[in-house]
Order: sequence, then structure tokens, then C-alpha cells
Amino acid sequence: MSNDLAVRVEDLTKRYGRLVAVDKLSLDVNKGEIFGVLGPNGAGKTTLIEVLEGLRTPDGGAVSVLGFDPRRELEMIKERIGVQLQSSSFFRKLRVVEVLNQFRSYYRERADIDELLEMVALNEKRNSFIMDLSGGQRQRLALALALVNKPDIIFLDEPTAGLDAQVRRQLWHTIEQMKSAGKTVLLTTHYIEEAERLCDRVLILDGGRRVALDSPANLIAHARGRSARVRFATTKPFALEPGASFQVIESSRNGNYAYTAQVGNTGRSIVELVSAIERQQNELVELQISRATLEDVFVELTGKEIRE
Amino acid sequence: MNIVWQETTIHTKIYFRERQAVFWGFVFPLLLLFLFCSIFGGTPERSSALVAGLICINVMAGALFGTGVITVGAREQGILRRYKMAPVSPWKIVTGMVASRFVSITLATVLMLVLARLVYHITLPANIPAALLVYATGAVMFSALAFVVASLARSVAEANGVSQALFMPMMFLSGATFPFEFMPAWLQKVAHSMPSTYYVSALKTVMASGGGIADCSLDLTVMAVISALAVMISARFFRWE
Repeated sequence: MSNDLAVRVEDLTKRYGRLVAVDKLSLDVNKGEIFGVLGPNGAGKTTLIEVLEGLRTPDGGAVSVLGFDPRRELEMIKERIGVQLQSSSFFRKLRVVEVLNQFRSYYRERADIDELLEMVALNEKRNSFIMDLSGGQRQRLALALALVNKPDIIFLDEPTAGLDAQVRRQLWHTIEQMKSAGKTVLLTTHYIEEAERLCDRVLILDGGRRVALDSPANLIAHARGRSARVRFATTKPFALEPGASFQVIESSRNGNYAYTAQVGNTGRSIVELVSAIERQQNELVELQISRATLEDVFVELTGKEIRE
Repeated sequence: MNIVWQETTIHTKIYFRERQAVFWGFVFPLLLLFLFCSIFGGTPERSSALVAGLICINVMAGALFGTGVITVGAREQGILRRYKMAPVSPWKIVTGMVASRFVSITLATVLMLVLARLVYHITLPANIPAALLVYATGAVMFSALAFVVASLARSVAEANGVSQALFMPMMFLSGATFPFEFMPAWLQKVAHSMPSTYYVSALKTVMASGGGIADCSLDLTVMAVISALAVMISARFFRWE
């Protein structure tokens, strides 16, 4: 295994009875990248991450984490990975700083508690009981716990699930800091925005199979043909001409006449649109091109909506 | 060893921060003490025998409900799962949990002995090492039994039910509350199949009759065997999640 790889997965298969949760999946995670696993519920995200953490034994294929095999060298892996579990609970009558100190003591490498609290913005809550923390604060504590051993790889399972937008953005910032500190981050999510904003590469998983694996930008570029949208407004009603390379999918009126068009080749369609407006002696007052989002890519590749 | 000590401290803190636990662990046993000794006591000898039984009840309750049920609860909530992610051996965590309960039960026992001595003039054990050995052997046995329950129960409700089903007959039939001699022969046989009977018998020997280790060697042996079996079963079946 090359030294630049944090994780290698080859032909991984995991079944629960008859259900195939992960189906002949292969992927590499490079050191220092934020790698996202995106998929709807039941896609196999958690199973994949739990196999890497050594919580589940694969039924087929091979995985290695930092060059170690979770089946034989789990203790080596445990020392060097940080894990945030999907649901985090703690004894309610312990203080934040007590929980951090407790888990920190299990490792050979130990992070500085003050720095951790700073990083996840829990400094003011250091002496609070777990039971007095909000959901977002608990989630941040779970993140800090994943960092107590100065891990090389951090596994985050749905790190921002159920959190409001502001808390989510704070957590993103923290995850970006981890990357700047040279750590590898492997996260699962079903928030498209999260994958797009954070990840260097995204694996789209559906029914345990790999649907796509690329950078968000490349994934979007591939799907651009179908999904770019152009919003424009004119002073007079706009008439779509026969043979146009785009379709108007929405129109509305507030002072001007506003339209949304689905375009194929963005450049060609814009030229066509602008000359049509001129021919009709209309006036263009607004023009906005929105690129395809990862969400469009996801729907296109899996035929599914990602939301729960 | 550091980690065992740390876990003991942490779980002791958790225990004393829960008011409910402190009520059942400290207030309730003392209420039982006053109740039993004022109804059935009368003489210092009879009170001493009653206190021996109460110590057993206290240890049983502390282990079954304080260790067993609480452990299943922590597992059910997913608290224990996190330990599995860390490079720490489970036996250190478990030892810490058991030791912390031992600390709280022992504090309650000492408190009970002091009050029983002052109010009911019970006889205190003449042979202190024997008394400590008997006390600790019983505590280890019930902690191990509590972990058997925690290993086999799948939910808090189940653990609670099983613990109640073990606790109630042991409380009433092992000589802890009613004197053994009043029971019909068949019930005495039932009682002799219960671990608590050996604990109560040994406690009475060292407390009320001033006996030594040799006088309760059979009880001690039985308890040691039960403990060893229980530890083996727990080690085989206990799960973090």
C-alpha cells in the first residue's frame, strides 16, 4: 500500500442476513483529504465506516486503515483514528472536561484539552454537566472526543445531522481546521451542501454500490449538460421560439416578466436567448446562470431524492 | 492500574451526583435498619443477626440495581459503545465500575454498623480480617452475578425484571429478614440453592457469633465458586452494545 493512502477498500462486501449493505465496494482515501460518503438512508454509509473502525467484520474483500488490517491490527488502528459515532451519549452527570480527560487517558498520544475545547468552542461549557448541554454542544463534544488522541484519520458519521444551520456552519469550520492541521477526514452525510462545501472528493453510494466517485466540481461538470438553469427577466412578455435549445420551466411576473429556463449547452443557449430577446424587440433586465448542484447530480445518478 | 483507579473515581462521582441512587443506597438501608431492629430486634444478639441480613440486602441491591441495571441502561443509551472505540481493555473499565459500587456500598455499610452499634448495641465482629474477607467475598459475588444479568439482559426493563426476581426471594428466604428456623423444610432447601443464604450465614458467623474464617469456610468456598462461574459467564457474554 502506498504511503499516501489513509484508507484502502477493495471489493468490500457486508451482508446482514439477506440484505447486502455494502456490495463489492472499492475506494482509496488519500492522506490529508476530506472524503465524503454521500447517500440516502440505508445506502451503506454507516456500515462502510464501521467496517473501517473495526466494529464490523467484512464478509468479503479487504480493507486497510493506515496500512493496518482492522481484523488483525485493530489496537494499532484505534490508537491513530478518531471516531465520532452517529449518536453520542454520555453519563449525564459528568462534566465536559471530565469526559475529555477520561477518554484522553486511554491513548498514548494525548491532545491538549484546552486547545480542543477552544477548537470546538466549548470553553465556556467545560464545567457543565452533559445533561445541561444542547444537542449542538453534545455534537461538538463528540467531535472533540474524536480528537483526544491527535488522530491521523478522523471518522465522522453524520456529524451535523439534526443540527441547525448556524451550528452546522461552526462544525464545518472545525472540520476544515482539521484538514489544515494535516488530518484526513472521512465523513458520511446526507446533506448535499455539506459534501459540496467540505469535501475534496465525494463517493456517491446507493444500495451499497459505488455510483460515482470524484471531486464535487467534476461530478457537477459531468452533469452540467442537463441541469444548469438560467433565470432571466424582460420588460415585455418573452415568447419561446420554435427550435430553441432550451425550455422555459417557470414564469412569473413582478413588474417585469421573469422566467426560469433549463438549458443544455449553457453558452449556446445564452447566445440564442439574447438574440431572441433582441429579435422580439424586448429588453433584458436580469440574467442569472446557476450551475448544477451536487443535488442535481445525485438525483441524476441515482434517480432518487436524497432527503429523508 | 491507573485506568482502573480513574474509572473507580469517575463512577463514584456519577453515583454520588444522582440523588435517587443516594436515596436507595444510603437512606433506604438505614430506614430498613430502624424498621427491622425496632420490630424484630429486642436484644443486641437479635439485632446483630438482623444487621448481618441487612448488610447482605444492601450489597445485593447495590450490585443488582446499582451495577447491573445501570450498566444495561448505559449500554442501551449507547454510552458503553464509545469504550469499544478506544484502545482500552474492557476488564479495566468493568473493574472500575464494580470497585466504585463497592466503595459506595461499603460506606453505607459502615454507616449502618455505626448507627446499629450506637442505637441497638449490636456486637461488632471480634475477628476483623475474617469479617472483611466475608464482606468482600459477598460483594464480589453479587457484583459478578449483576454482570451475568447485565450480560444476558437485552434491555433495562428485562434487567430490572430479572434483578427483582432474584432480589425478592433472596431478601425473604436467605435468612436476611426472617429467621431460617421458622421455614418449612422444603423452603429451607430452596433457600440453600440461593447465593445470598451463604452470605448471610457467613456474615452472621463473623458478626453475631464472633467466628473466624475457619467457621465459615464452607460459605466462603461456595461464594468463591459462584463468583468464578459468574465471572466466566459474564466474560463470555458481556457486550458493549
